[in-house]
Amino acid sequence: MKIETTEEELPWDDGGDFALVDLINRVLDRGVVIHGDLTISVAGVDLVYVGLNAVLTSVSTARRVLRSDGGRGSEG
Amino acid sequence: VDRKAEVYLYCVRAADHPPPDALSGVDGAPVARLVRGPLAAWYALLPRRAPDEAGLRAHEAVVREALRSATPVPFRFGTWFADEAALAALLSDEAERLLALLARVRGRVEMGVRAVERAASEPPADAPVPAPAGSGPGRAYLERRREALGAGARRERRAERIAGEVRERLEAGAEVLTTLLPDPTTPCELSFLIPRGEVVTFRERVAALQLEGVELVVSGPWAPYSFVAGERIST
Repeated sequence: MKIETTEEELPWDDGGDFALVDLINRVLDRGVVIHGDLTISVAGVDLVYVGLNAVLTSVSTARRVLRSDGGRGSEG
Repeated sequence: VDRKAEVYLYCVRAADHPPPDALSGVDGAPVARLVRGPLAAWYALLPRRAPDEAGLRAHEAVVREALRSATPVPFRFGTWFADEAALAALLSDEAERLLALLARVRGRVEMGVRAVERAASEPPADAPVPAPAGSGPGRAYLERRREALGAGARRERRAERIAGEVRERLEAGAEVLTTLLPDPTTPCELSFLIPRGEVVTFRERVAALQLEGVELVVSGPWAPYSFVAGERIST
């Protein structure tokens, strides 16, 4: 089985120098998740990123937002 | 501390194009490709490490390389496997799900629109009525408490209103996800899944959108991080 996928070329934004908040919101907070628990630090702000339930908002207002079952680190 | 290199996964995409030669990602580790049937994982061998700004940018740079020729399924920063066999098992065991995800995002990219409060913004029209002066301390505490709760609720209503307006005026058939952010300077953020060919038009439409009190910051094209965010795969 083969899937043909060459797709339309993209007009990139200016040199890829995107805002850190947009980057964090996607690369750290979204995307497919495999493992549960990670302990992380972003830009010198220590954050505990627990299980699959963390929502990381921005560096300046980084905070934990956990569901009521957060902290157990169980798989969804 | 033993810093054994493990398999770090960036994204999964169709097995047609290999990564460009000499592409390196997080911590400078070269990006390799593991193919199982129609699927390919773009990965690198590197020791586990905490995320930081350089790491996030390096992760995104690799995912963008994959996005260049066809839209991949991006994984979150920090996805490690013990070895290539474990990664190969993911591609085999979850092939159906990954193919369905690829089909869902095929030919499309994610664009972000973030609302940012204008610096010298006037207080919102629905500002609170000041509490009557001269009440006792207990009453004053309750008033302050009520006001604080009210301010949070007002901020949320305002964020919802802004998000609603942006959605309404930009949607045009795109898939949209809205996130209300607890940051008072950035009330909300929206992600749109749009056809690859519509990026320029999308930017123009955002630029032309005038909203009271907030500026709209557009970002992208991104791999569809927000649109695969619900996917959780156990190995």
